[in-house]
Amino acid sequence: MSTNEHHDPDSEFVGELGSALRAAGEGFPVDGRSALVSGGLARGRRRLLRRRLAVTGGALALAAIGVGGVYAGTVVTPAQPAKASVGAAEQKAKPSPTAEPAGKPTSDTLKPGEAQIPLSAIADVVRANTPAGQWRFDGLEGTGQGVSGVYDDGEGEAAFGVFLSRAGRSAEAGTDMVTCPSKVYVPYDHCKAERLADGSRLMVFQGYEYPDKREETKNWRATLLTEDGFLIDASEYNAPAEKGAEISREDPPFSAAQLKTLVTAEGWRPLLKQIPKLPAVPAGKAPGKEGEPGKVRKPAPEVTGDGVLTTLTDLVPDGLRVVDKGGDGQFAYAVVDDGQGKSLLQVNVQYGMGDVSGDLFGSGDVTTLPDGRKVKLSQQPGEKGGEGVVWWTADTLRKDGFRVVVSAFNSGAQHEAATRPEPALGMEQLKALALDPKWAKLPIRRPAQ
Amino acid sequence: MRTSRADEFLEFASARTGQLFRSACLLTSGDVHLAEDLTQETLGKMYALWGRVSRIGNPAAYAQTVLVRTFLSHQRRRSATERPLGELPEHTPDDGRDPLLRIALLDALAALPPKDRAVVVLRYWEDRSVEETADALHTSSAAVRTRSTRALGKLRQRLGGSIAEFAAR
Repeated sequence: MSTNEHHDPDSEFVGELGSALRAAGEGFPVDGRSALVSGGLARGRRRLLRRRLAVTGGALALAAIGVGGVYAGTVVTPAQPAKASVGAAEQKAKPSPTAEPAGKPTSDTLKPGEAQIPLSAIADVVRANTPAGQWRFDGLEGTGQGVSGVYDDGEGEAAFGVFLSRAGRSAEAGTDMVTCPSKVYVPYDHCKAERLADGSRLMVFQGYEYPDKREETKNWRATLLTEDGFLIDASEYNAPAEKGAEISREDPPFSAAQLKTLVTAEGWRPLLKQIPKLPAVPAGKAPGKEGEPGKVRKPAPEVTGDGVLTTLTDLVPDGLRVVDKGGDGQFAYAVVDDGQGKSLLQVNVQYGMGDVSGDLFGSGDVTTLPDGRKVKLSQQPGEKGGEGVVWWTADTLRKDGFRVVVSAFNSGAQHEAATRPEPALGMEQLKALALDPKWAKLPIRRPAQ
Repeated sequence: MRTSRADEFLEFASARTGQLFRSACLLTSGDVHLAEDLTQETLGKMYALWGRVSRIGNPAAYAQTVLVRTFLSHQRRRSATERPLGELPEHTPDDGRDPLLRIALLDALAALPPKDRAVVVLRYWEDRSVEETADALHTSSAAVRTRSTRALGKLRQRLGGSIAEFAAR
């Protein structure tokens, strides 16, 4: 028992409760534990790989405002709701009882549509298309779509990861992965995007693990989008782990040209063909249920095109100059300056957010307008490491789940130090911006089921 | 020869998974399927963090903290009405203890709000102090005390004297 029990008038009951909890807890048999361990390991490897290949592309702009899982949605499982976090996506699959033989991943550890490529085959292509050196890969006995590991050419250990995937259903799917990100979101030393002779698109990026460079871990990365819609994505570091390890060398081991050689290798072709076509229904829905009313929720429409961006720049109050802007689909940002310093402004326009109303509007300064729209105003410190950065937000949700959230910062980028005491727009201006009727009139598309 | 991340992790996970799973069963008040999912998710997070976690003092305790946080964020995401109270998930078979009292205890836990349940599990199953519990839940010691008192009151009300009998077995 803790040392605080003597303050507790319920101490006798507490003692009994402790014993009862132990008796109840120990009544749960743990003989399925090895399946849990291997399931946990499989999830951990995916998580590590995702992090190693984590957002540096255009998708980062979305992640920045808290619609996590976008990158994973593009690459690992298609058609996840934008709000779902990576963990949430994994938890949607109902696990089977731990009846699987020990040592094998349980069925729930495999995402729908995940390829069963032997990881040793992926590692072979990596070895064959990189300079000689020592490799230590994680879990080569398994199958999947990517491997991570540590490489050493004698100059210091370097974490590495490569992931193969289908980009998505639409023609523009994956293009955000081969477009150099805006420096507003990601500081980097070099980034080059090009179209190759065979029609594929390549981005080679040389940046940092931490956008605010609080640790000097470099992340270099090459991403290839083939003309037939496959993504090959390789990342390397100048440390034996992407986070939490001292840097082991000045730069990651492979040059931009060597990364390009790797991702464009012919050896990937037979492996890419093994990646299943994207499922027709969102992940987590059992096949064969599409016809049953109420079983499959229709995917929410998504704002498409650059409507959010043009509307945002139109709605910027007079006196503010837009010095940078970007974004597409449901997200846009603008960096504005009134002469007192740069201020980042960002907006998300989302449909189908009614199911998270409680999460978003369950606490804080929430008011309900006569038309039923909820408005929540908040002011908090920035989250991306910029010194003195404040983050002001007006979040609005219509009864039908249509959400517009506008945020403003007192710096031109969240990871940079504050340039002014407050954002260039006040709370009332943010609120007015979020409630503007124009957002609801932007073109939308309904994702395919 | 240094061992690989996976070897080190597997050694840790093999030793700790049983306890994590049982904690998860109590947190979910006996929903073993959800408990399996939470356990795997927790192990997955531990694996991804392993480089850092293995260097901190007590990875086992940290894993329990990760489990509780994973549970709470899972609860936040799903609708409060998804699992009506009183409709208990399947419990494991009779293991020789009085199943009715065991079910009564899990039932009483199920009636608590998730965060109160997390406080009960951390303090009285994990034997954490108020301060450690507050730290794990990202809340204040005062809030933990309030939740403890409230949860204990509810549990006592529902379980009455039967708990002493159960605990003595």
